[in-house]
Amino acid sequence: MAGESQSSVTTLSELPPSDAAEWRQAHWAFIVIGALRNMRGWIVPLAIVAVTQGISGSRADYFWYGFAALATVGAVGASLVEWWMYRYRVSNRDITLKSGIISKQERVIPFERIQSVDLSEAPLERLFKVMKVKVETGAGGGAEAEIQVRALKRDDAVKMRSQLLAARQRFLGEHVPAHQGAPIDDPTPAVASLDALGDGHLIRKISTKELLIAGASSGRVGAAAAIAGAFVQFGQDLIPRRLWERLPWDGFADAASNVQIVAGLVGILGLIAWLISIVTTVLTFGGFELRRAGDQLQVRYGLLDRRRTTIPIRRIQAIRVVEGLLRQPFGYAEIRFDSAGFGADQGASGVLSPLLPKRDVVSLLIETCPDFAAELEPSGLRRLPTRARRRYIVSASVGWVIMVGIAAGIAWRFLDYPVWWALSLLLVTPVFALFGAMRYRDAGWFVDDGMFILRWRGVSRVTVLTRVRRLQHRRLQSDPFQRRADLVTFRTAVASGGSLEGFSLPHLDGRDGEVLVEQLGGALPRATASRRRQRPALPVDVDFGLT
Amino acid sequence: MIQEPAANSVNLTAPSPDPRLLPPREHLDPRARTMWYVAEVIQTAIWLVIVGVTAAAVIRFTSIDSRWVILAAAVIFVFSIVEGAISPALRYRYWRYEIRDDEVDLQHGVLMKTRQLVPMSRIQHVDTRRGPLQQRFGLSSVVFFTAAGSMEIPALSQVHAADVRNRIAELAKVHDDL
Repeated sequence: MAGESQSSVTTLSELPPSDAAEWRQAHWAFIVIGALRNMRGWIVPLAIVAVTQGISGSRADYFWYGFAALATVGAVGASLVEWWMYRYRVSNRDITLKSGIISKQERVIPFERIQSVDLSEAPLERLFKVMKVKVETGAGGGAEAEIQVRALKRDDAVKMRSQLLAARQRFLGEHVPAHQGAPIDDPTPAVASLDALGDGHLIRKISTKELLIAGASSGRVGAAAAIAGAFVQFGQDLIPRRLWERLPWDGFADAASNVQIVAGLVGILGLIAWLISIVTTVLTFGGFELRRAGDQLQVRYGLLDRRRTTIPIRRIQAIRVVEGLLRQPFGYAEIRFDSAGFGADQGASGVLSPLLPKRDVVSLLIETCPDFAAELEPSGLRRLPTRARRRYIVSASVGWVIMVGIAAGIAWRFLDYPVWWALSLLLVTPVFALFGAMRYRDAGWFVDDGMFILRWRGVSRVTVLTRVRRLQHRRLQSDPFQRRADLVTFRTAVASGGSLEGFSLPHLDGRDGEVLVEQLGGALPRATASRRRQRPALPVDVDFGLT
Repeated sequence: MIQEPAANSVNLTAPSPDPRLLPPREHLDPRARTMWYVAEVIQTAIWLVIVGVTAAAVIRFTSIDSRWVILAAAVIFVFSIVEGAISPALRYRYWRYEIRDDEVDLQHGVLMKTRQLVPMSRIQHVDTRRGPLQQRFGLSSVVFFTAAGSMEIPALSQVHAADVRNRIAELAKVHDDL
């Protein structure tokens, strides 16, 4: 095998097994570059101080020369030790990097995990004719998800890149995507070429009527109410004083005791807020268009600030169907997507449709990302146990009760307010309790045929549609109170820069939680294997196979 | 579904008679306890200084009754000592892990108990790490990364940590398209 290797492409058999592979050290330029980087932050100010102070000639100011010298020695020394500890190794299965002075680190990237290998030269590096090789493993993790081999001689860097890419290709048995084979000085990022595809065919456009409905029913009313409130609050500053004083405020003050007027004011305020929210929605989502071009979705919207996003369909990790309080009764929802990042691109969450009748969701998904098309109200949706209900109600209202308690305490201790006035706010508590009950009622999950559906409510009701193989982990958590009632909180996450926290559902029945975790992965050891229940046959395990 | 015979519908709603999941099999290295005790001593000492200085400053520069300040400082200090005395042993006792062929299985936490399963095919890469204290005790942690963040097995002997790291790296090799 070794004999037939071509000049530039290294075959795997040329690479030594990991126990025989030698640890290599970076080029000595590493030390210089590292030292200069260490000094970058303070060298200029210190030089200025040292020169100006030194020039003034008094003996005490030689301190600055000494200080500068010491700092430089420190920076060079640190860089030297770092270089000494910095070793990399390429074996026939992975690349390993050892680094760290005080805290030692050893990072291994198996060839199959390599997503991209980039070469780069900063000006300093160009000076020394060395390059940095960056080996990335894909989405998420940021700096943690990569190995940077710093200061390699250009030839070595280029050779290493072709070695790694060839090895990866060999392991995967597939063609290396074109952009990874692109010449290193090619500045075009992978995504730009995709944009050049032009406009895809139109899937959805938003009509003026829908735009107005979206605005009228958007949750922005709250934010807009705050703006309107602030406007009234600071009206005094905004309107010329003379005019302000001329307004019949005394009359208002007398009448303010009149409940009707107060209610009227609140009503007007609400109306203004509502109008503001309609306007902002129209400005944000005006001209919304969803197009598909091959493997790409193109989303465009915005009247003032025109936005355009291109999403590779296979990067989509999950779809969220968000039913706002004002939309749910009318059967409307907003559709969002979570997408994984790639290379320099951050993962993102974006809008697939700002307003869509719920009955059209499935057909939209079939047209855009068929992987996630599923019945939104599956009959087998699993629910929480009855004993979870009380907890949802309590946890929704307890915050309000505590807040009112503190407010009442302050009113009683420091202000001249009667306590009952603050305590009367407790009358609102049932609204929060009702929210808790709704959260309990709406919570549910469903697993079938590689599809995973999770539903919960914050204020809006959210239904997440995702694939079992998109889930990065599953977690069951319980505090002592939950354990007493045999309840668990289920958590999971997909690969998305936007939602590292992922999705969670509190207060599942303990056994249901365990079954769910198994349905989303493989069987787990149980106390007695003989009594293991027959689980529904899911093609879940197939998903772990080669794709 | 609702019209089905009672026997079936009971099965859907009532807790199933399944035996419960077993916890992961392996424990951390026993030296973890000692290391965490040392860490707690250091931490408590730092707390003592911070709380002491703050309390002295409050007494010196404000008109707050010094008895209250001393009481508050004492409460914080006693709490941190008690916590430091108990938590390393408990943490050690409840930390379990298991590297299975298809998944990494972690369980930890004393009050808030967490069981976490990470499919091998989701793991992007694995590190071993040694902080200064860990080096003193010949320990190492294994950190592995998925596209949704990182997870850590905090204290294994250095040899074992390297084994675990290599094993995960080996098992994680199934290509997964993302």
